[in-house]
Amino acid sequence: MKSFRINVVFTALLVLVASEAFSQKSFLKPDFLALQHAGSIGYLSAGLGYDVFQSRARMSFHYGNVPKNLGGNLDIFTGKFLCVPAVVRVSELVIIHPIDVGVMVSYHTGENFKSNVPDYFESNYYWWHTNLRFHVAVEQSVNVYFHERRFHRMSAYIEFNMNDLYLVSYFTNTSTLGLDKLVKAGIGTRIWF
Amino acid sequence: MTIRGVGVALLVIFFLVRCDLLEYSPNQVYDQDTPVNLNQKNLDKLFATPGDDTITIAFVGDSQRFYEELESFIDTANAISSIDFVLMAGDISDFGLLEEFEQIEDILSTLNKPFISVVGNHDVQAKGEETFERMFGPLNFSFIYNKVKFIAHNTNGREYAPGTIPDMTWLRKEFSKDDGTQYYVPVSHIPPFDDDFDKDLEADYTQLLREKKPIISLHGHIHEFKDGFPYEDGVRYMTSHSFELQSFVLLKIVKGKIYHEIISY
Repeated sequence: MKSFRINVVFTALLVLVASEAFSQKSFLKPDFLALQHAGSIGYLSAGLGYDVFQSRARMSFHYGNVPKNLGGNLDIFTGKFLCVPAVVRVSELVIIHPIDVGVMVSYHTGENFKSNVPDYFESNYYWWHTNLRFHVAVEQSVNVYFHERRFHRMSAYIEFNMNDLYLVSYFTNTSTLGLDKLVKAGIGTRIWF
Repeated sequence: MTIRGVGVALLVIFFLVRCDLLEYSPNQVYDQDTPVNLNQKNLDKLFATPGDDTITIAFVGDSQRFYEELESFIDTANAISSIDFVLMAGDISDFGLLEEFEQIEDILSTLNKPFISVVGNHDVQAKGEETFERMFGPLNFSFIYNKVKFIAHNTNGREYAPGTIPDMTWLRKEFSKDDGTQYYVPVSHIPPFDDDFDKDLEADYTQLLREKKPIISLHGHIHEFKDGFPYEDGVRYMTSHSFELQSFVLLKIVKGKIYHEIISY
């Protein structure tokens, strides 16, 4: 539970720093704060992000943790980049993103995770890095706008992802492995300020 | 948000949880429905069946990422009624990920006989060692079936500090117990003559086997069937085919004598 508390403190700090940053006008000022449950980047994760390319895409950086009593302890840092190919305007204040698509890179810290293997293994003996996972991701979200408020937009999303090692397993066993077992999901919310 | 909106959101969350879609990390050690202690549960099944003079074992090698071949193997093994149990000689998974272990277990659960799993070097990647230990049980364990003592142990030495694995103290103790054993069969993933065995311990290990005279020493890792006396010291070593070769060793032990045939599927 110690790491879980650290996670909560970290998230609170992130919100504080973000709030402080929002009051300043700066190029680095993030556009939104994201909180997520699951989605392969932590039981809980928090992140800050930017809308880019006239809001046709967004990028964000997250820290997540899986506490020991839920299959951890794991600390994970993640970068996401998702494109917004289409939006559906339900009303003036509600916009649905039917299918945002993109990629994620997640980094697990700790002694169990390595970016290289000892020299005595021939190259490519273990061809993947245990600490780095590359994911493809698809997301759907409902976005609600609050005009003239400090927090002027909020979204609830569901995101599906599949990592590189699951993809390799899938493509070498297409008749046995179902995508339903290898595609993983997370849910979250984003708040724009 | 309307009541309908809340209802839809709750339904989505219920669906995600039910379908095991909410993954916290590919490296998480377990999730809500990960099985535990599979080796002990399978041994309980084995001991519940009446044995006879002949122990018949489907001795199989590395299953790592060969899911389709594993399904074919199970069809073949299920049709051979004389098999007492399936012995998996390590590298159950390729990346040491929970999802892999769970998929393999899901397929193995269709076997109509017990299966016993030994840890391989791929199984201990990332958090794999903890996952394997929780799901299958201790990495070093032994059991006696019809007066034959099977000593399953971790020989993935290059994954650990030099001079520590295999655990020679534990092995010596297992070979020395006064437990009515007539014959020994050590089982591990990496055979001592392979480069991935801890070379600091090769001499000690082979010396111990020489002293204790097992009827055979069983291994995986090299992905193909081999049978012989590599140290020319009277100790017989055998490795099994991995799943991509779609063959396994049908091993029979009758009063300390070993008989085998290769079964293709």
